[in-house]
Amino acid sequence: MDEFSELVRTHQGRVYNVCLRFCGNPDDAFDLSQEVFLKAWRGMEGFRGESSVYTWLYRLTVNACADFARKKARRGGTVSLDETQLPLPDARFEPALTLERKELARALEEALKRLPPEYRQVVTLRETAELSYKEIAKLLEIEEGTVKSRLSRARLALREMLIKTGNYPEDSASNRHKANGKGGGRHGTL
Amino acid sequence: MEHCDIENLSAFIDGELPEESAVHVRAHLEHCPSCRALADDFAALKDGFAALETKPPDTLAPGVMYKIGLGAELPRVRRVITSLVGVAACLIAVLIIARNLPASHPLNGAAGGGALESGVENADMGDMPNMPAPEAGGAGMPGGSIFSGAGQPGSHGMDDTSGFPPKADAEAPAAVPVPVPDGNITGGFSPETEITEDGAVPPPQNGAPAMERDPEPSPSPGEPSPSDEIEVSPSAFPPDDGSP
Repeated sequence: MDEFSELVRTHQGRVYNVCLRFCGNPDDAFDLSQEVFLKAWRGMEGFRGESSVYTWLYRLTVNACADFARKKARRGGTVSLDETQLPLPDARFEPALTLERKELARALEEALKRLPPEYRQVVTLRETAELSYKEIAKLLEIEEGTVKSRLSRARLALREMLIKTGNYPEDSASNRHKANGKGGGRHGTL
Repeated sequence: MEHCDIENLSAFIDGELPEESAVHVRAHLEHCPSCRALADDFAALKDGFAALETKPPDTLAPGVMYKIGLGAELPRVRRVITSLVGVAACLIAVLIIARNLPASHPLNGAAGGGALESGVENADMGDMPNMPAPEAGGAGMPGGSIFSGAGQPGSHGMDDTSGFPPKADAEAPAAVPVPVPDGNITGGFSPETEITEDGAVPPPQNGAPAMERDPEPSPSPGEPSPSDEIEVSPSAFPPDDGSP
């Protein structure tokens, strides 16, 4: 029981933040986090150590978030967007944004909500849960190459949204890179 | 100049690129400002994610531990148990009352007319048609002494039926206001809770007058009953699909 208590204390922050990234509001994130830990408690006896507790806990988190997304989709809240033509908010109505970290975080949060679920899932597991490519691949039962690919595309999409909303300076080299490479195309292979 | 493969650049930022490939990317970045800028943007995104970290609510971990029965919120459990004990005490009191009711009492359906006559004779109490049954002369549980005079016209106690307005449908005296003798009863029961003849307790009604000595308000119909809150045992959560 002490071990479980320690598990909750150690991982509550990351589990909560992963849920928050997926569901988008603190109340749902709180409920989802509790659900994850309660499922973990119920499944503790069946846990055979075939994967690390850490990976197992995040599998429960991903499943809980996926269930949440399915329910939300049934209610008409699907997030769907093309990989190259992302439906962006109209920058004319955005306040002047700076590169300050807080502003970037706020804009990033909004951009994340607009990512396709499978991209948001991978980038959240990488950046928020801090899982390795291998762990993400195992958890989502996909190839490591797919993790790598989705991550890069998710980052390009996020970067593109942040540029369009003014969160990267217009004269940044990244914009020049975008202009040269059509914002996410391959520029060659090393 | 050829640019980096973006997947490799992204993996390089994550430190997930094999060293032999990372060497090439590192060398390329030194000479390609465009790819370097893209790498900087990716790194800035990582900073953004770090800034997104939100502290979970303080109640998250304690709430989980409480729900699985390992938490420290025992006072709440005690409150629920206290409420249940109070309700049980009330039910016992009602059963005692029901058993001791005289044959002439209006709750005994066949004797409604006699009770009405008794109430008319009592001029003092007849002015207060809606007055509840007189309160016992103490805070203890209703004992036999309180109701020992039942059935004797003119005596005080439950036999004094003037407190009950005459009812036209004397054949169906389904309910009667029951006094709650002790203010320690905390939940699920109000002094005006109606007890049917068969002992069933209907849910509390809105607008029922509050008991003066009741330290806690009775729950409204929309609130969870005490029994709803008792799910603190780990055994209440059988293993399910949470297994890896």
